[in-house]
Formats: sequence, structure tokens, C-alpha cells
Amino acid sequence: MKEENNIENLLEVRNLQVEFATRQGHMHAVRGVNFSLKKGEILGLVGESGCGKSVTANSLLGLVGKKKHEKVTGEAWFHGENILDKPEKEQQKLRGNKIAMIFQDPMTSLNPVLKVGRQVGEVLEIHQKKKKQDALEEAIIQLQKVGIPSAKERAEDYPFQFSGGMRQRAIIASSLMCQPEILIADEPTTALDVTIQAQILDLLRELRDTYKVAILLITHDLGVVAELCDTVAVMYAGEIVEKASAGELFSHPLHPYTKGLMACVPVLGRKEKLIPIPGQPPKLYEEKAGCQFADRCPKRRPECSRDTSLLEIAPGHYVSCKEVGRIG
Amino acid sequence: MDREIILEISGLSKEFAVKGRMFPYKKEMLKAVQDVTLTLEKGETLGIVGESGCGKSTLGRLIMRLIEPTRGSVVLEGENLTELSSQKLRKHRKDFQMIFQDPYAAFDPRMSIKAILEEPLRTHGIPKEQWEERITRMLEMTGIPLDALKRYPHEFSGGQRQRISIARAILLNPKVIIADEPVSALDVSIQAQILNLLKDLQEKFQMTMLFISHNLASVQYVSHRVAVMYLGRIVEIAPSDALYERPLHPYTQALISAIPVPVPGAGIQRKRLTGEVPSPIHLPRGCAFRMRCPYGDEACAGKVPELTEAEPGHYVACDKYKSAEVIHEI
Repeated sequence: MKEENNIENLLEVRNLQVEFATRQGHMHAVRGVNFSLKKGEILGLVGESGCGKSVTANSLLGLVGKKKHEKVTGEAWFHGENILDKPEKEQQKLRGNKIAMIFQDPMTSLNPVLKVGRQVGEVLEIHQKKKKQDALEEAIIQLQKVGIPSAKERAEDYPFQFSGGMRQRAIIASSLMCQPEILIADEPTTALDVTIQAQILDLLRELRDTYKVAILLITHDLGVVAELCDTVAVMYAGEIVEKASAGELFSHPLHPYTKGLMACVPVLGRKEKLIPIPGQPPKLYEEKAGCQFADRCPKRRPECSRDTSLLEIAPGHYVSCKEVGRIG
Repeated sequence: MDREIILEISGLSKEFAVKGRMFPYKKEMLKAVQDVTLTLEKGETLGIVGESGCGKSTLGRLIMRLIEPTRGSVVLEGENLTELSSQKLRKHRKDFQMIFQDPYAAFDPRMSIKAILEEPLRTHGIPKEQWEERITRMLEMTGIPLDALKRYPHEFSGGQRQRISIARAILLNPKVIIADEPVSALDVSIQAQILNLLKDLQEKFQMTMLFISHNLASVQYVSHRVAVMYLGRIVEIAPSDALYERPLHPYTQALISAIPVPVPGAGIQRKRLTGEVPSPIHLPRGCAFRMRCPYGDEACAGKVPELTEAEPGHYVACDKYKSAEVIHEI
């Protein structure tokens, strides 16, 4: 195998494809996604529901692709190895150890009949074969670090005794137990209230600064992206349509979909009329050549039905729209 | 401009009896809505905003009398709805309609769109000759194609379904519409379509609307006035521009500052609220916000602050709002 990936990149994903055989037909959920993640970088993957952002994350961890009707192809390079090719046993060693994940709903990712401290420590029992008592002690320290007051007592509580924000903190604590190099956060604050969301976003930023952990943040909220991310990739219909640093993307959005997304969200204090994106996001059952956004695009041209690939328009700013590419 | 008050809510409260945590046989009272007093003028949209569990949805349901209030009254054009018998209430139901969060759960999946839209007309005894004309007009207004009538709810996308539920709500020309999180279940690109539709309809028909949401930005976008709720009480109520430009209550200030804005780096400098919302069963004495409030002290525990008019039309329930630092620091 040729080894050409950049040493700086902790994770490099190339031409990731995910397909499902469903009762409604063949579904091509992720259609050739490429991105890389550096140490200590926060990359935001933004898009509407059904654009394939969560499937992308799940397939990296081997949570998709194991069943008969699921197919994952492409490469994901992590420390010189393609983790997508690894057998399940090997992937298991990575999950929760080197690559950890936080899910949206903090209640369903905790076991309701296990005390919080035990659950948080469990990761160490599995990956580092630690004794129950030692794992619990470390769990308490970690719970303290993520801001759970009187952690020693709270470790004896069950998940239902925790509030939503506290549960998410506990999950973050358990994801950090093995000092992962990559943290995948799938809509980590969507189920929380805004004042609690602000606290959790602060916590994630702190973690990056202290542990230099790389974070892949999946969200539909552009506000959250702006607040936290260094780099942003906008997904539409299973493809990345635009990728740039957060500063660049928000000051010079290029793809018509990115622009549309920004114009259709109400922002406090802004009075202008919202401009909705007409139509509906496509269902991913059919394969259509060219730009998937063309049907809803105000700048549609005949050549949009031809191939689209990401073009570098400005340094580090990639966009898949040929129309923009032509002007730029 | 003469202002006609259409809905008057005074001292509205709702307490739910729940089992005690320590002694399950002992009933405890969950104070969901406490002492809410509001007026709604004809043709205005009033936004109600707050975090989960603050009582905003309960308030909407109380006004609809889907649940019975513990205390207080709701007066619609001189008629006290809280005292009506269920028979009389039925007649008044056409005057206030509701739009729900989940547009799929709001329909019977086995009814065609035609049947769904005819049902309220039949229930309220509208002559059959008018049905077709009324329904066609509503479909045009809400942007649903006419061939939708023969189809069933599952054939539509979330945004289309919400349009249909809006069409159903305004079909009877209600005097008040209560929209409870009407866009929260929709994708962002679709939310804008529905928000614009509600805003346009409101302007066109001079509809009176209560818009309930946790999203301050969308509340501000559609509303003339906004009321902020915290733990069952209204803590601030103001014209929507004033609320954003000069929030007076420390909770409103914190809420505004917590909202992520699409400007990179803007969030890092801001103040954060510490702690979490106390339980509505064991409410703290005095101001319920005082433990999380950066300006809370002993004096705040004394009594529940009342809504007072700080500026014309701008009411705030905080005894400290006058100290200059509260206004400027956040």
C-alpha cells in the first residue's frame, strides 16, 4: 500500500461511500466524501437532516457497514492504517479508546440501571483491563474535570437522577477516559437548552485546548459551528459541497447552498426577511449526475448536470459549484 | 391607532399534583404556570420564549382550555372561557385554534387531506355550499397544490404537512391562533418557508397569534411583542426590538448571550449562566432566578419580584434592573 498521507493529518478520509439496500430501493447515503483532521483541530460537518453527516461519522467507527444491507467503501487513514479495512475486533480496540464518540441524546447513550461512576469507568475496565475500584476512582476524577459538582457522591447516582446537561457531561467524561486522539460529537447539544448548550460548547473548547484532542463536530446549527469550529465542511445530499476555515466560510460563503442556508436562519437583531431555499432536499435513492443542488439553485445553468468535484478557489477554500468556480 | 384588546389573561396558574420523590404517597405540587397576566391586542403576534420546562406550552394549553387552570381567568372578547360549561366551550372552540409542533402527529393518518380540512367545517356547522370555496382559498393561501386533497398525510413532507395544519387552523377564521413550536420539528431550510408564511398570513388577515418557541431568534422574527418565561412566570415582556436591544432582566440578557450566532469567535467572550434550572416542585423563595443570577443577593430571596413598567410597554420582574451594571455588563 502506498503511504502518501500527510504526517500532520491525524485522520484522513478519502472517497468515503456508504450505501444501503432498503425496502424503498438502493440508497447512496454518502457519495465520496474527503476530509482530514489535524491534531487539536475542530472540524464541523454541517448539513440538514438526511444529508449523510451522521452516517459519515458512524462509518468511521465501524458502526455502519457490518450488516448485509450496508456497504462502506473508501479509506480512512489513522496512524498509517486504513481503519475501514480492519476486522471488527481491531476496530473495537479503537472505539472508545483512540476514537471516542458523543451522541445527541444523553439519556439513550447511558445505561439506566448502571451507576454513573461505574459506566464512566467501564471504558477503562474494557480497554485497559483496570480493576473496578481503580476505574471508578479515575472516573470520579474525570467527572470532576468536566464540571460535575461533588463528583464522588454523584458517581453513585443513576442516570435518571442527572439533568440533561449533567448527563451530557458524564458522557463526555466517559469518552475522555482513555485519552482519545479523536472525539466525534454527533449533535452534542441539540437536545439541550441554550444556556446549557453554551456551557457544553465551552467544555468542548476547553478539552481541545488542554488535551489537544481533535474534534469532528456534526451539527445542523451554523451558530454552533461558528462558535466552536476551526474548519467547516458543508454537506448536501451525501457530498461535501464547500469546505473552508470558519472565518473564511462565514465571511465569504461561495456555494449557493451555503449562502441559502445562511440567509434562511433567523438571527437575533436582524430584521431582513428570510429567504427560504425553495423545494425539498433530495431523497438519496436516485443517482443523478452533476450537482445535486441544481433543482433548488437560483444560479442553475445547463452545465450543472455535468460532474462536480471540489475545486480550490482560494487557499484552503474548496467549493463544488462550477458556476462559482468560473467567476472566481 | 385604537387598540382593541381581544384576549385578557389574568392571574393564570396551573399546578400539577405529582408523587413525592421521598414519600411517593405524599402529593407534591409542581407549579407549571404561576400568576401569568397578559393581554393580546387584535392583530398582534405575541411571542412566548423560554427554556424547556418553563411552562410555555402549558400556558398555551391553558388558554385553549385543553387543561383546566388552577386559578385565574382567560377572557376572550368579554367572555370568560374558564367559566364556560363544556357545551358552551365547544361553540367557542372555533374562535381559537392551535398549530402543533409535530405536523404528522396532528393528523389522523387514515383521513385524506380533504377529510381533514372538512372536519372542522362540519363540526362547527358551516353550510356545505361554502366548504369547497373555503378550502380552495385556504390551500391557495398556504401554498398547497389543489391535488393534495385526494392524498394522505404520509405522502407529504414535514413542511407541506405543517402548511396543511396551518390551513386547517385558519379555515374557521379564528380570533386567536396559538402556535406551539410550529417550526421546531422542521429542517432549517424549511423553517424559513413556514415562518414567512405565518408572518404573511398574520399581516394579510390581521391575525392575532400567540407564538410559542424556545428559539428566541425565530420568536423575534415573527412577533411584535415577546414575553420571556422562567420557571412558570413571565420575567420580562417588551416590544421585540426593545427586548433584543435593551434586555433588562438578567435572565433575558443571559439567554440572548447564550445563543450561538453565525459569526466566528463571537461566543468566546460572553458571560455564561452557571448551574441549572431549579425544580418547579421545590421552587426557591423569592426570585426563582436568584441562584443563577450574577446580581442575586439576600434581598432577592425576600419576595417574588412583580412585573413593573420600566419603559413604556417594557415590563420587567426584577428589583435590580435599575442598577446600571445590570444593563451594561453583559
